[in-house]
Amino acid sequence: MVSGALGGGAYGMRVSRPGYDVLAEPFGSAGISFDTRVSVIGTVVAAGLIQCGGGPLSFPAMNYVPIAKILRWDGTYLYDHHAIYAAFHRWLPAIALMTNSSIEVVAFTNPWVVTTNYFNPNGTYFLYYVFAVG
Amino acid sequence: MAWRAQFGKRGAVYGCWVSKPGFDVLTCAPGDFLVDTASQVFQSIFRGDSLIVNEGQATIPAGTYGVNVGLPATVAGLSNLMMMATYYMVQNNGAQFSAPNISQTYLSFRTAGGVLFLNVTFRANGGTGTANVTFEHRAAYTIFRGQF
Repeated sequence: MVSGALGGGAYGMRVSRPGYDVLAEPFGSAGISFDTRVSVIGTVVAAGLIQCGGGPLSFPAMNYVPIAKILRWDGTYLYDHHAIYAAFHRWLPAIALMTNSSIEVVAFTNPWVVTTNYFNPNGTYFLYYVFAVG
Repeated sequence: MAWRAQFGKRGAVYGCWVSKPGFDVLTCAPGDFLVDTASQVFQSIFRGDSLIVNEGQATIPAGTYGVNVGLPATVAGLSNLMMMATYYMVQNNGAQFSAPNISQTYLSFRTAGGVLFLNVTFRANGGTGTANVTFEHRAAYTIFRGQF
């Protein structure tokens, strides 16, 4: 942990993750867990890629069901709130099912429109973040 | 009163932990910390709002339209970036709309090589077809230093 001069004329506080040297890690390094030079919106309990329809992934059990964010990823681009438009309806292709220790992404379905006939997200990937907020 | 802060060794790792009010820092579960140096914090490093395409009266052919936003040098070289974006439209009378809910267009985005790429794709031909009615297709975005 460093408290004081952080280089470049900036003063503040910086904490590295276990196993990382707080003095050696560059600005923005993933080895830094806290840096007062940038604003913080929350702790990420788990993150990565998850396959839609591929079953749940586990993360350390929490005392509540946390907030998660998913974004469709096609291998190159990310899509946030990418609504599917067909049959005079619009919908988000997939939803995340959360428990206090797992996340699962499944295709959105409903009784009126066979949504996967228009866009089938099963097998595609989603970037997910689980925040320490419930 | 519960212990709230811990510095030093916790289990097999060294670091700094501060629990949320009401939780004992020595025993609380993941997600009950205010500070947990064994996890990574999601930090905002760049944010902005950009016009991607202006949809006027004339027909816009179906296709993808994009703008590139150069990232500041301090963050351009970072590789562990993640971003979120909100796609919205602004009519020339000032009204704002959440674009995914009203249009046949969608937003895609990525960061690579110090550049933020923002694209709007028209599934079908666009254009308001009405004189003096235009829509700005815009994205408000934040780039995070994530652990992806």
